[in-house]
Amino acid sequence: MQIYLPIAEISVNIFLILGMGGGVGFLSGLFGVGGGFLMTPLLIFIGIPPAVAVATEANQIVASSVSGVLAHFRRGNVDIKMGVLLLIGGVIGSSFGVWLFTFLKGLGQIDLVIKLSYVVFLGIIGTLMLIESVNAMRAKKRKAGKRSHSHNWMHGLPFKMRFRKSRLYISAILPILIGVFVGILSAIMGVGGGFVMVPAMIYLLGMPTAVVVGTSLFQIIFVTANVTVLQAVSNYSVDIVLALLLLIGGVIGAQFGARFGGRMQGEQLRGLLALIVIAVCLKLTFDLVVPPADPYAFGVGGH
Amino acid sequence: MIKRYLKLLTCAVALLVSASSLQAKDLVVDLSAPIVRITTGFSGTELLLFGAKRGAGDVIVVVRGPLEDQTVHLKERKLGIWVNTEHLKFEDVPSFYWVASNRPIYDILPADTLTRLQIGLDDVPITPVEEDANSAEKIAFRAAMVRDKVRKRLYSEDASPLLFLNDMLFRTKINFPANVSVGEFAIETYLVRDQQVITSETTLLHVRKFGLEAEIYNFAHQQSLLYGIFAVVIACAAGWLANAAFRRG
Repeated sequence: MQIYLPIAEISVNIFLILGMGGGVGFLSGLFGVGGGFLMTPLLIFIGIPPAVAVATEANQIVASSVSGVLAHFRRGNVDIKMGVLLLIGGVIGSSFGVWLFTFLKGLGQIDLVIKLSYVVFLGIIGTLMLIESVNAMRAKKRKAGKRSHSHNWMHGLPFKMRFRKSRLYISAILPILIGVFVGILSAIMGVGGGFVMVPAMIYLLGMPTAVVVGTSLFQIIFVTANVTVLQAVSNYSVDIVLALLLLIGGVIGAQFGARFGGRMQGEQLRGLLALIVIAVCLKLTFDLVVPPADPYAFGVGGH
Repeated sequence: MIKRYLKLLTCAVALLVSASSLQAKDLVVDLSAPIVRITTGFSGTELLLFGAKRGAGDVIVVVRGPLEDQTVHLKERKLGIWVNTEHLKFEDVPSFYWVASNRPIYDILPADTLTRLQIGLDDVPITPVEEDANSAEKIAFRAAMVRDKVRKRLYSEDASPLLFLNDMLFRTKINFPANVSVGEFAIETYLVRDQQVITSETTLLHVRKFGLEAEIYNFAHQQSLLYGIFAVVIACAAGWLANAAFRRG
């Protein structure tokens, strides 16, 4: 059954979109990630214009983050003070990101920047995750005690604040900077940015793992909401019909994923996710390197 | 399907009779529908163009979609990856261009007339904005754009067949793909005798978004801030609903 998307202005198979939402939702429930980094490239593969894919995916992430953060709130796993600082940075970063997006779109380079960002970030994160999970699988036998984060230059920064939930006393500049960086990624790549923020919170800030996911989801809601509104205003590229279809599939898929994930071990899950991330990265790299069928690219309008 | 055609042909005959007796026109043309409606289930459509002519002669039909600006980028390999480098902007390019005739257009009209009337892919009015672009480059960019439009089935490569049912009646089918632009389409029908255009008829066709499609599109473009907020509110509600359902389940 075909459905015509009013903003993307193409006709797509409704079951294909529901299936993609379900598949990515399953993975996001399984691994506890947003799934934007998989969904946006998939949408581009099936012919959704990249600008629409990025903006619409941001809208979908608002929904999946709201649904995720509520569960974490109930367990008290959200550091609101830290979240608000990350959020301040996120709003600055995503606003700048949407401006940059519009500017690059005008230059005719937005598709390239989206794809390159994916290649770089998926490549780095996928490799790091793979190494980490392999190490973890090996170290399990040795039972190495986990040491807390070490003191370094970051502890010399001004504007120190106390974060009771995270049991930290660090400079407010750090979470804001992380927020800015993730906000820019969110706007350009159509992702929540959890895959960058979660490692940054654990390894850079030294936050306890228990509060990291809830706090990052809390921040992601507001940043992706900001991206959605700004993209709607400056690029008219949020397709609400597409977002709703992805949502329905995603919600159902995520439930199955979460149940299935409970039966697998953490290191194995992360190793598997790392392989998927690397596969998406390789596919995108392949498309950039292989000579295109037609060396010309086309766009309506102009500059 | 056949029934529908028969009905349309009856209409055409009726049209012919009334037109020829009342107005004494040499050419009468009509469409199976004056409006193409883009609704939620739209996946392209086919229209039947039918008409009647008086006397001998060939018929050429040209459909032109609303004009739009187009930018063509050339991809080149830089540092191992393919990036957009040079670009050329074309103004007022027909978003849709389609020709039908009862035999090849080059046998019907001389080349200079085809050029003057802008009939055929070689004569689609596509001119770049930049005057200084050298002509070889211009031709390559133009050819690339036409190639792309043909691939997207927005331009017809060769003239589609137009069938004569007898000395008077003719019909042809026009295919509109799902990615067709909205706006006003002008359909020119030429009656040609001895390499001369005897008469021509212009029929207008409207391609419009209807119902929910139109409402969402207009909402997004006319009240974009409200639309963005609306999208976020819907997403929050859906997320909350999903969570509530999950807890119970």
